[in-house]
Amino acid sequence: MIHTKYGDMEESLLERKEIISEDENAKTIRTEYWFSGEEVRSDVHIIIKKGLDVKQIMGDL
Amino acid sequence: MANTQAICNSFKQDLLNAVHAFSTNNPAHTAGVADSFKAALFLQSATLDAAITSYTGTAGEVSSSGTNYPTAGVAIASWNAPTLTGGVAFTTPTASFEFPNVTIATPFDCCLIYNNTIASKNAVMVCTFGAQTITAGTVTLSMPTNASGTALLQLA
Repeated sequence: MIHTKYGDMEESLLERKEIISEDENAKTIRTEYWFSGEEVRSDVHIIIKKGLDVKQIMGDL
Repeated sequence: MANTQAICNSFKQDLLNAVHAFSTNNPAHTAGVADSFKAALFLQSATLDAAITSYTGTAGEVSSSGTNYPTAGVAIASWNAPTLTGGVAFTTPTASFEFPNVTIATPFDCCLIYNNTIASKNAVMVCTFGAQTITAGTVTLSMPTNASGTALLQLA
């Protein structure tokens, strides 16, 4: 069973689609569950690829 | 308008003022107690960038109305102890951020991390990703490897 917008549904009744996208900051794996042509659930897993840095800058005296 | 991923400029200044503490090694704060941080999701239509200084409310944030999204975001459980490797100091949250059972029809594309211990809720960083909507599911933000060159927050 899987929880959907209509409550718990048998997962075997649902069409599962996985969509992977990526940019320079993150990789996103989107998993959609469809029933009778309607998306009834989706999960989004965002994988942050790398963080951000603070660069030190030394000023003149 | 769009969101722009950035270390917040105010955070850089905050570091010099010892405003933030990611570990228990924080004598300028409460000895032995790390600050509390939170992560909030913002809509693609928002305009977050390096200029944001704090979490100031719900403007541009994902709505809590009918979405099951918690206003002000979720707590970040803890951070890895800040480490210095090859001249780079870094830290990363110890676990992913999860927003379970949410339905968000308006596209969102960024996450603001801010200090929730400080009353003024000073901003730390803005992380962006491809715009998403979600139906009755879980948004998970996984952290990068906590190492020099990849950690979520690095001072090079």
